[in-house]
Amino acid sequence: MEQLKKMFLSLALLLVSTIMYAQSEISGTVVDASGETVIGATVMEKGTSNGTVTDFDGNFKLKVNEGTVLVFSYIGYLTQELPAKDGMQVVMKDNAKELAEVVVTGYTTQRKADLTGAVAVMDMKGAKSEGDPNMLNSMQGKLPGVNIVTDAAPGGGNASIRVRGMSTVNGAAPLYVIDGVATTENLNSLNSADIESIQVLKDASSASIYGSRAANGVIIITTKKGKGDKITVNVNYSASLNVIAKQYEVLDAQQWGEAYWAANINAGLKPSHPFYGSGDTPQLAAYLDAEGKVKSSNTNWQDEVFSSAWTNNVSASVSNSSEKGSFMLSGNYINQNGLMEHTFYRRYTARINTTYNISKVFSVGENLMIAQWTDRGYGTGDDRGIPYTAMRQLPAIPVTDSDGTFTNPMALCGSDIANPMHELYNGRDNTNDSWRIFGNAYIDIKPIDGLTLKSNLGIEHTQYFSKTLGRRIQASDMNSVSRAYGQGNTFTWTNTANYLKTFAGVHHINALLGTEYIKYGFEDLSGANRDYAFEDADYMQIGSGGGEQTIGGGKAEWALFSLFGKIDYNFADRYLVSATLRRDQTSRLYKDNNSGVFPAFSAAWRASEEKFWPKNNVVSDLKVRAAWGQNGNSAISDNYAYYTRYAYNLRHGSYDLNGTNNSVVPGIVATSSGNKDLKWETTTQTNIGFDAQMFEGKLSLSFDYYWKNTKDMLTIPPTLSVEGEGAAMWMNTGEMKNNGWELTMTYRSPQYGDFSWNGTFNISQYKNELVKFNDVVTSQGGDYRLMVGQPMGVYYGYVTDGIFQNEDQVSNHAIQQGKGVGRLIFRDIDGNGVVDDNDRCIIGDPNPDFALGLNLDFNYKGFTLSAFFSGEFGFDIYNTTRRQLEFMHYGGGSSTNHGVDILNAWSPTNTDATIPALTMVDNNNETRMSNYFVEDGSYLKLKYLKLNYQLPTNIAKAIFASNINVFGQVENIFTITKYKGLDPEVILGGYGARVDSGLYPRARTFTLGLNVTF
Amino acid sequence: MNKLCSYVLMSKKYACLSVIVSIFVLLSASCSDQLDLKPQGEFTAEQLNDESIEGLMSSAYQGLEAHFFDDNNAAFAGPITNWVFDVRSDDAYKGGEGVSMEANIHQLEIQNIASDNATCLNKWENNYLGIARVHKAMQAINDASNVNEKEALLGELKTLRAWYYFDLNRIFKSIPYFTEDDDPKTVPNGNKSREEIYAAIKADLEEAYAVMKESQDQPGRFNKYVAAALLTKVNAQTSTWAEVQKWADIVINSGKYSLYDNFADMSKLEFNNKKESIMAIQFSTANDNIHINFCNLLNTTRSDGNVFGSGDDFFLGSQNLVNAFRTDDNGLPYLDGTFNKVNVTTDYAGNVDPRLDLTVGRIGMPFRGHLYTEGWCRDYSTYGEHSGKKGLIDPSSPDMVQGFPWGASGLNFCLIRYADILLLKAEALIELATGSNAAEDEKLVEARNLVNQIRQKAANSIDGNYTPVDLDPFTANYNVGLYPTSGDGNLYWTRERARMAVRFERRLELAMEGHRWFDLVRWGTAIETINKYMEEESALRPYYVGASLTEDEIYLPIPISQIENSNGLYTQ
Repeated sequence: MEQLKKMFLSLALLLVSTIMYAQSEISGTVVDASGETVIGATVMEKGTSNGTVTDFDGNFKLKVNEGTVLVFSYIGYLTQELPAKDGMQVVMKDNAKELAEVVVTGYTTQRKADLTGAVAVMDMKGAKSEGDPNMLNSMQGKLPGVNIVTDAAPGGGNASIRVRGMSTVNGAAPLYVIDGVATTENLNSLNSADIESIQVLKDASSASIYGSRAANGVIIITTKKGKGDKITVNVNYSASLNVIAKQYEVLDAQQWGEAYWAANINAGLKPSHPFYGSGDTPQLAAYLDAEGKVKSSNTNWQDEVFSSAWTNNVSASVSNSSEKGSFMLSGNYINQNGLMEHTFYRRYTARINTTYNISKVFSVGENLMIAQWTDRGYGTGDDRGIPYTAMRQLPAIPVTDSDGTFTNPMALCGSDIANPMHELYNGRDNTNDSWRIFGNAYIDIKPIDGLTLKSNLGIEHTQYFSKTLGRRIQASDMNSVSRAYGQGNTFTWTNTANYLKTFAGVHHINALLGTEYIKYGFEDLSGANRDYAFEDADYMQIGSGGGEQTIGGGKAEWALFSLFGKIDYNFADRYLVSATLRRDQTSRLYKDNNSGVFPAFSAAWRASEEKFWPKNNVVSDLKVRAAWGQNGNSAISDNYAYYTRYAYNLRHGSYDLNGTNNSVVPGIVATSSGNKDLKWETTTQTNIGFDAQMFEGKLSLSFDYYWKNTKDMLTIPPTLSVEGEGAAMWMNTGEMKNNGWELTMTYRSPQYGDFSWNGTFNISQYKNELVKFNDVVTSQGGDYRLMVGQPMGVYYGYVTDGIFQNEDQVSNHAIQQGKGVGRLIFRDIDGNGVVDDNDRCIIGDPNPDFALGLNLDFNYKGFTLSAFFSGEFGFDIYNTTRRQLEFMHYGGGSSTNHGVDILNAWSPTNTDATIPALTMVDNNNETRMSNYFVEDGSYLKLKYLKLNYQLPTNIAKAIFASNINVFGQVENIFTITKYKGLDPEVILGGYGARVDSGLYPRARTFTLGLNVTF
Repeated sequence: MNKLCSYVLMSKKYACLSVIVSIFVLLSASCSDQLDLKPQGEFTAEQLNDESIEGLMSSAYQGLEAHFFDDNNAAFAGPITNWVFDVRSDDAYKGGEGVSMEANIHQLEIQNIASDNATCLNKWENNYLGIARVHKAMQAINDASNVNEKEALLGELKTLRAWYYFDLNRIFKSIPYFTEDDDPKTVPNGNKSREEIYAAIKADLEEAYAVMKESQDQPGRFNKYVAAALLTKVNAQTSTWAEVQKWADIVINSGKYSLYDNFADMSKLEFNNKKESIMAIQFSTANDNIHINFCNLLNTTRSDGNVFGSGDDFFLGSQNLVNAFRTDDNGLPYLDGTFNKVNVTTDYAGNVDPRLDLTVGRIGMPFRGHLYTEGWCRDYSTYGEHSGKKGLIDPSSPDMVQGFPWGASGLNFCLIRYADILLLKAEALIELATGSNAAEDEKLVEARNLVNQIRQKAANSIDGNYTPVDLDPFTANYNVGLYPTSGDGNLYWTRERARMAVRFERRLELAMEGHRWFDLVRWGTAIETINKYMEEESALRPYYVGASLTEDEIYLPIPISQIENSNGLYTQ
C-alpha cells in the first residue's frame, strides 16, 4: 500500500514536472563503433526517470529540459553521459563486444545479450572456403550443435546439415530464412560475399516463431545492406588450385595378374584370362585384342580421370546509405572446375538491396537476388559412379587404342564397367542450367512511437533445364537425348506489427503479432528421344531423334497459413522473459486436423546485473537461460497424404492385353492410402544454458544443454506384401529423443605490442535415440537401419572374428556354410551352433560421440594467420569400397581391379593378415554385411590455414583505396584418422548413416586472393 | 491548425491500425480456403467407377510381368519365369561375372538358403502384389452396377489368382491364403495346409472354368482352357492323376492348340499366342521398353560384337543339362543315367538331340545366325559356355530392341505350353496304368504316343536352313528317335521305363523354362538328384564343393522382412 502511494506520488510529480518546466523534444541516433545502429539502447535524462529506448534504426526521441545531460547505456557498451542536443549522434564504445551483437530471431531482431534461447552465430570474419560456391561448406565445424557434412563435388550442392541431432526420421533439413523469407532450397546459389550474418536458431523457444517448419532448426541469413555515408566499393578476387588429396592404391597390371592367378588357384580353378593367357604364371599379352590395336598398358585410371583444377571467384559490390535510404549492389562470378574431367560449376549472381525512407512514417525496401548457374557432374557415391569405376577399371587396359579411340572394356574382357574416360567424354555436352530469383519487398509503417507495421512479400522462383546426351559407348548401344525442365514459385506474404517500448526506463517490451501465407507450386516436364544419326551436340536436339519418344511431368503444391505472436519483456536488463505462440494451418493435412499450435516460453536472468554481484573482473557478465517450446514438422514427401489415391500407371500397371507386342492397355494402380487423422509431428525442446564474460571480456563462454523429444513422428509403417500396392499410409507413430550439450569458448588476448591472438573453441555432443517407430516394427532397413532404442542409422550385420588359421579351428567352429582355412570367421552370437540370420547384431553407429571446432587467429601488425581445425570422434563409417578393394571375386572377378592391400591377403605363410585368402568363389559369403566393412571414422582435420595481410593505409591511399587485403590459403591440409577410405567426411545418407561408396574425392585447395575496398 | 494536423496524424495512425486489424481478419478467412489443394495427376478412391474396371483388369494382368517397380532387380530376383529355380536345379548355373555378382542367386545355386535372400522377398512380394491387384479388380466388379458378364470377368481374375497361389504354394514353406472377402492383414501364414491350399486353388479354377469364355477377342486375356491347363498342372502337383488326365483332355480336345512345327518357333514373335501358347505373359516393347521381360533381362548372352547389346550373360545351361541331350544310336536319351559319363564339349562326336542347340549356345555352333565363340562367354573360367537361347529372338529382326534393355523384344513367355500339357497327360497315364508294360496296358501306349509326338517335333526341327540358324548338321550329329512301337517295343516300354522316359522328356523339352526344379520336388527326387549333380559338377565348377541340399531347404523360408513387418502374424 505504501508502495502504491509512492508510485502515485511520483507519477503525479512527473506530470507536474512535465507541465512546469520548459521542455523541448530532441531526437538522435545511437550507433556503434562500426556505424551499425544500436537497437534498444537506453536513453535517460540524467537524474530523472525520464527516458526511452532506441528503435530498430537506432533512433530515439525524448522530451527533455533544456541543457540537461543524457545518459546512454546498453549492455556490452560503456555508459556515456552527453549534453542533450537535437540531432545528436552518439557512438557507443565497446565494452564487451560479444554482448552487443544484434541477432535476427524471427520477424524481429534482438540484442544477443537479450537472448533467452539458444542461438549460434557464425563468425563471418574467420577463414572460409574461398573457392566453394556453397556457404554451408564454410560453416562446417564452426557452430556447435550444427553438424554439416559436405560433398566435394563442384558446387557443393549435396551438403547435408543437421541441427542438434536428428529430430525426425523424415528429411531433417533445417529451414533457411533469408532476409525474412523462408526457404528450404539449397544454399549453393547464394553469393557468400553478400552474406552479412548467419545465425542458427537451435532451440524451440527461438525457433518456434517459425512453427511447423522449424523442428529441425532455423538458419537465418541476412544479406548486406548499404551503410556508412560514403559510397563504398568492394572488390574480391581469388584463384584456387584444387588438387586431389588422396586416391586409392590399386594393383598395377602385373600385380593384378598375380593376384588373379593366386585367387583362381586357391579356388581350385585353372587360371586363364584373355589378357594373361592360361599358363602357370600370368603373362600379359602385348595386345589385348585380336586386331592388335589395343596395346596392353599399366593404366592408373584415377590419374586419368582426376586432374588438378582451378576455381576463379570474383565478386564486387557498391553500397551507400544516407538518411534517405541505402543501397547495395553486388555481382559475383564463380567458375569451379571439377577434379573429374569435363565437370564444372559456374555461377553468376547479382543482388540489389535497397531501402527508401520516404518519411518518418513510411519506408520501403527490397532485397533481390538473381542467380544463374550451370553445372556438369557425373554420378558419384555408388559403384557405377566415376570415382568408383576409376578405382576398379583394369590396369592392363589403355585409355585409347592405337587409333586414338576409347577402348571398350566390355568387349575386351566381358567387363560390366565402361571406360570412365569414355563416359566422361561422352557427357561433355551435358548441361544443367538453373535460375533462382529470390527476394522480398516490404513496406514499413511507423504510425506511432514504438509501433512498426510491416508487410513483406517474398518470392522465390527456381527453375532448371537440363540436357543429357546418351552417346554410344559401343556400337550396339542406342543413343538418346533427354531433357528436363522444371519451375517453381513460392510466394510468402508476411504481415507483422511490432511494438517496442520502454516504460519507466526499466520495463522493456517488444511485442510482435503477425500473419503469414505461403504458397508453393512446382511443375516439371521431361522428354526423351532415341536413335540419332549423328552424335555431335549440334545435331542432338530433342526433336531430331528417330526413335521412341517418352514424356513425363507433373505438379506439386502446398500452402500454409499462420498466425503468430511473440512478447519479450525485459526488466532492467536483468530479468528477461519471452513467450511465443504460432498457429499453422497446412494444405498437407485434412481440414479437420490441419492446424497446429506451437507455444514457447523462455526466461533469462542476468545475475551480473544484480546489486549483490561482486564487482570484479573475474565474471563481468553472467546470464543464465531456460527455455521450453514446441515446433512442428509436416515436411513429408507426400503433399496429399490424406487422400486415398489411384493413378493410371503406364509403366508398371498397364498390360498388352491385345497381344500387339508393342502397346499396352492403360491400367489403374492404387498409389497410396489416405489418412485423414494425420497431424503434425511435434518436437518439444527444453534448453538450459548460460553465457558468461570473464576477465574483462577476454574470455567468453556459452553453454547449452538440451532435451529434445519428438512425438507423433510421421512415418510410413511398413505394410505387408499381401496388402498390395498403395497400402502404405503416413501415420503419426514415432517418437525420437535427442539430448546433448554445446560449449563455445572464445578468448581474445590483450595486445602484446603488435601481437594479439584469439581463439574460438566449440565442442558439442548429442545422443540420439529412436524411442518408438510404429506399432508394426521395431526395425527398418537393411545394412543400416532404424531400430527402436538405438540411434538412427546404426549398422547391422555379422561380426567377424578374424580368419580361420587351421583345420581344427574350422571344425570346432559353428556350422558356417563355406567355412575353411583362410576364410573369415563369423561369430555365432546366439551360440546355437549355426551361423545364420539370427547372428546379426548392431555393428556400428554413424553418430559421433562429440564434434569440435577450433579457430585460431594470430595478428601481428597487418598480418593475420588463421587456422581452423574440425573433428568428429567416435562414429563409424560403412565403407562399401572395401568389398571391391579387398575381395578378388567381387564386382566382376576377371574384369575389375582391386586394392594393393590384397597382395597382403592371408596365406599359410602370411597368417597375420586381415584380408582373407584370395579366391574367385565366395561360398563363405564374405561380402555379406559385417563389421569387416564398418570402420571408426574419428578424425581431426586442419581445414584452413590462411595468411592475410592488410596493406598499410598509405599504400592503399596511393591507389585511392581505403583498405587492401591480400591472402593465401590452403584448405584440407591434413587429416588425422585411422579410416582406410579416402576421407572420413562422408555425407549423411539414408537414416543418417555414413556410407562411403566412392564419393567425389575431396580436394586440397591452394588459394590466393585479393580484397580491395574503395 | 496544429490540432487539425495532429488529428489528421492521429486518424492516420488509427487508419493504419484498422487496416492491420482488417488484414488479419481478412487473411484468416480467405487464406483458409487456399489450403484446400487436390492431388495432381492422380485421382481419389471416390472417383473410381465402372469405367475403371478395364484399367483394374489391365493392371491385374500386368502382375504377370512381375515388374511392379522401377527397381528392375525386383523382377530379376523374383522372376515369374522362375529361372532362378532352374539355377537351383541341375539344369543351370547362375552365370554373369563371378559368383559375387547377384550373390543371392549364387546362394540359391549352392543351396545356401537364408530368409533374407532377395529371391525370397521378391518372389513373395511379386506374387502377393499380383493377388492384391486381382482382389482390387474383383471388388470393383462386385461393386459395379452396370457391367456385363461379371462372372466371366471374375473367372479370369480367379485364374490369375490361382497361378499366383500355385506358384507361392510350391515355393514357400508356408503361406497365408485369403480371398477378396478377407482382410489380408489378419491372415497368418499356414492358415491352411499346403494340401488345403491346392484344394482351394482347384476349386477356384473349376468355378472359373465353368463361367469363362471359350475365346477372347483380346488374345492377352485368358479363356477357359487356361483354367483347364492350370488345373492340369495343379493336379499333377498333387498327383491326382485322374484329374490330370481329365483336364489335359479338355485342353487337348478344345482343338485350339497344337505343337510347333519347329521347336525354334517358341522364340519367334509371330508365334506369340499361337500353337503351343496356352498361358502366356504378354510382354511388349511399349512405353520405352518398360514392358519387356525384365525377369530375364540380364540373361541375355554377352555376344562378341554386341549382337545382343551388352548382355550380362546370366543363366547358363549346366554341363549336366547339355550332356542330357546326348542320344544313342537310336536317337534315344540315356535313360539309365549314363548320359553324364561323357561331357558334351566342342570335340564331342556323338549324337545329340537338336533341342540342345535350340536351348543353349555351344562354342563352334551357330547362335541365332552368328557363330558362338568363347568371346560370347562373359566369365568362361567360372561358368563356361551355354548361354540360354530360348528368350532371345532373331537379332536381325526389327522387333529386337537396340541398346538397353539388351536383346529384349515383345516375345511372350509361356507359363503353360501345350507340350507341357501333353507330357503331363502322358505322366498321368503312366501313373494310372495298371499293367507293367505297353503290351498290357493301353494307357502306356497312349503315353508313348504323346512322348513320341514331342520327339517327332524335335526330329522335325533338324533343319540347318531354318532361320535364324541355330543348328549346324555338319558339326553336330543330330539324332532324335521315337520310342519304338513295333517289334518288342511294347515290352521295352515298361511302366518303369515309361516313367523315366516321360520325366527325361520333360527335362529336354522344357529345359530352362522354369519347370525342372518343381518337377524334381514333385517327384520326390530333388535331394538325391541335386546332391549327386552338385558333387559331379564340382569337378568343373568348384563353387559346388561342399554344397548340399537338405530336406528343410527345399521350400523357401518366409522372407525375414515380411515376418518382421507382420507384428507377429507370420512365423517361420
